[in-house]
Amino acid sequence: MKKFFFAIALIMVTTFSFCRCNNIEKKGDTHLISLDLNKCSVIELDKNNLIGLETTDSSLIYDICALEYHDGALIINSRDFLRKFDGTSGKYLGDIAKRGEGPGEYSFVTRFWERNDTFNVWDNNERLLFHYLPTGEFIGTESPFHNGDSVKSVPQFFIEYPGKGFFTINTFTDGTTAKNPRYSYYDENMCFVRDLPGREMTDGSFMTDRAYYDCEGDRILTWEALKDTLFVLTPEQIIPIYAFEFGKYSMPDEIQSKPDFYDRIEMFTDKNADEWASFMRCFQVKDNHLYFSFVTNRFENYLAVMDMKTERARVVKLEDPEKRWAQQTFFKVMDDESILIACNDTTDMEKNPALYKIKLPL
Amino acid sequence: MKKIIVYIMIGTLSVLLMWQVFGLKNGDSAAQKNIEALDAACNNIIPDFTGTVIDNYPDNNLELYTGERNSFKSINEMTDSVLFIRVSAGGCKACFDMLVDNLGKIKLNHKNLNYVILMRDVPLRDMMVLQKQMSGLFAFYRIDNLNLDFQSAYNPILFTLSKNGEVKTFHLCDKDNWSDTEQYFSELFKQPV
Repeated sequence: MKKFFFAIALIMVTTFSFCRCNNIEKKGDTHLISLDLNKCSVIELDKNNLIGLETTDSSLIYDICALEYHDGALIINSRDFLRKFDGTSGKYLGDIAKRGEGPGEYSFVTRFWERNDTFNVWDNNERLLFHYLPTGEFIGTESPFHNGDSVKSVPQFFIEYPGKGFFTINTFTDGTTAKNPRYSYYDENMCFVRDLPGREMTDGSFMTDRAYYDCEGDRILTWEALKDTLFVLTPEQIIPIYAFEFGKYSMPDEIQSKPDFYDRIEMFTDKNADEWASFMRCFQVKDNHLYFSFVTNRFENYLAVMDMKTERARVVKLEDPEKRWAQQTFFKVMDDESILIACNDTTDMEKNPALYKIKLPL
Repeated sequence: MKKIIVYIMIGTLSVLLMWQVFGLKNGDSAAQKNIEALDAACNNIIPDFTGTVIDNYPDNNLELYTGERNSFKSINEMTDSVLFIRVSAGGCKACFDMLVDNLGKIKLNHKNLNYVILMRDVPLRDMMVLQKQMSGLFAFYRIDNLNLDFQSAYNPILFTLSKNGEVKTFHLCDKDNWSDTEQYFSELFKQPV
């Protein structure tokens, strides 16, 4: 009888241990990265390093959503604008393409990038991928398609996985479909392969930067608004790789876990809330370092850089001694070992943003 | 006795395993689906706001970008021949774009009609860029709170007001049900705006 009870107890203990081990392993895959706001390195802004983007009625832009550098020019995507500025003087050089209904005209840009001397625009309204030469000459369009009959995910954001296909971040269906997978994978022929299990669209919010191709690691990084976790997309699954924490400035888990972005942003921007840092965006990789920006709920923008070997991260802030130029969320790590950081002129709201150029490493 | 204990143990283990594997989520998801269905149904029901007085919240004037920074105005100062468009900067962009294209065409045949966009959640600089882009067709005002917001932050709302500031007509725009919007316009232009 004793032996029997012992055997049963052993089975139960083994079962529990097995289940617990599984959980620990899943958590263990995600590395916790600490960021210390109190040990922030300050870079003093030198006005000589600013590239002011020319402001005229025809060159006005909103905030910078994406930027490519080609043949001495900066091609800026700002919402529905694709504008070209001189890479040194910031002089406006014209538009690469425009919104409209004519040939080569798009209606709603949700992603812009360059690859192999071709500018690519994902038009979320038309669900078309537009291609242009650097001169602005329209090449043509492509459309991802489903060859399955039960797939209903509608792409909203599009990212190329070179040599392997594409990922899409899908449109929020607002409860009208039983499932609303966040990510889908398409093959190189733009043919739907599968929805990735594990993460659903839970609101209709939209961010202009949501994924990045890390060519050093040959992987796609992706992130969500006000959720301090970085994920990797593979054709089969979504893997959380880094969770970031700011110590006493961390936004509480119960807020980050709220499914609806609008609930999270409301709590984040609540004037009575403690000081929190979050909203990590613009993740980029260069020389085995991970760069990203984040913001506090006092609307201070910061950069962070993490050595991916040691997994140690530092916080960096650009500060103007004259308090005129304010660092913005957007930045771009350039091929020439420099970084461009968007800045706004706080004394002149009508001015286009400027780009501050610093040599790497920070 | 042994058998009973064995059955109890097996039963307990089965429940534990089921719980670990499936997380006993079926009941939760069914309840969630019911809530979602209820929400979806409720969202489709829009009360009749006709006759309701609309005004700015006290101490919260409409903020207009005029090129000379901000000027302020009350909504009741501009009820004549005005079609108001209530829209959120974080709302349905495709609906807004479609609306703007159509309103531009309508203006060609209704020269006296004025469009006033009441935008919420919009940074001032964004409003300035929008105003410059669409100058001549729309007046952009920034206001986050109105006493009546037609229960929609996502879809643009079209409305007209009487001289007393009461809602005369209103319509919720949805790009997927654009024929409803066309119907609203055809009803609207049967009578003076």
